[in-house]
Amino acid sequence: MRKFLLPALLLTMVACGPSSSEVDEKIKQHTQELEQKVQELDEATKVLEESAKDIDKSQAELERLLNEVKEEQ
Amino acid sequence: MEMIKTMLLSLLLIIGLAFGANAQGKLKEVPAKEKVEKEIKKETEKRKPARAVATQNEDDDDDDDDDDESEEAEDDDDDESEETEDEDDDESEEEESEEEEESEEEELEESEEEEESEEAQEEEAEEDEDEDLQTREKRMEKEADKAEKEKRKAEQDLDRKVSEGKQQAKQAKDELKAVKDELKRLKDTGKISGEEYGRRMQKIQAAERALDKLNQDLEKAEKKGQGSSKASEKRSN
Repeated sequence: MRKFLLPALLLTMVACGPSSSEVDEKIKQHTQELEQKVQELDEATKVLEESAKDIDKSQAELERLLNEVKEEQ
Repeated sequence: MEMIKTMLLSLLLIIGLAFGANAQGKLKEVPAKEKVEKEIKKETEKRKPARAVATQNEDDDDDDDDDDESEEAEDDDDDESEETEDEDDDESEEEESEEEEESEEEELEESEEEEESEEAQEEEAEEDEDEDLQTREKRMEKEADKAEKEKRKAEQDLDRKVSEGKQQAKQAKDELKAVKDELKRLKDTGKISGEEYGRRMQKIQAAERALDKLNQDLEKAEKKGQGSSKASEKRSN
């Protein structure tokens, strides 16, 4: 009885499993999510890099003015 | 026992339905092929009589022309020439019909080959589509990893810059305070004029404004860094 039940269950599972179109749809959805993630990460990186550039500029300006003040002292 | 029997029956039913659905899907493809073959056969059959009639007409025309010429030339030789022509015509007709049959067979073979090649192309296109989907997904995964690394690097760079900037700002603040104190002392002792004091003080104030700007940028950067790390945490969750 068990010999018969197990393959029958397996076959049922295979028959009721996801079709190729469903798998394709899932792959497409995952790819879209990844694309969105990449876009978000790129934007965040850009913002961080711009902040670093602003700091660089402010540091350079402060250094220049401080040197001028020190020279006159 | 009865429970098991009912379970088995229901399982068999499900399996039967599943395979039935699958088989139905496959069977749908078979009539399509048969249909195409039938249509090809019908077309070839239609072409057969039409061609035969056309060839006969052509032969008749040739015969008429030949007959006219021969009537004009010599009447005695007509009977003999007609007989020989008829014999030749019969042979040529047989040859032509054989050629037609061969050409039809070739056409059938060509159409079958075309069908096979079309089917193969369709299968290849489907496989390519699957491959494209999977390769695109893998490529996007790689790009996402790369973007994640770049963002992490940018975060680390900014953190380093913020800590360096804070240190520099603190140092600059102390230095400016010392310079200011020294300038006041020089003014109080009368070593520099009021005009000179004012000119130097303007430069110190400009440096102080630059220091304020740096502090603001550092504050903004800290907020942005915190925001991006929170966003990445959300994404990972």
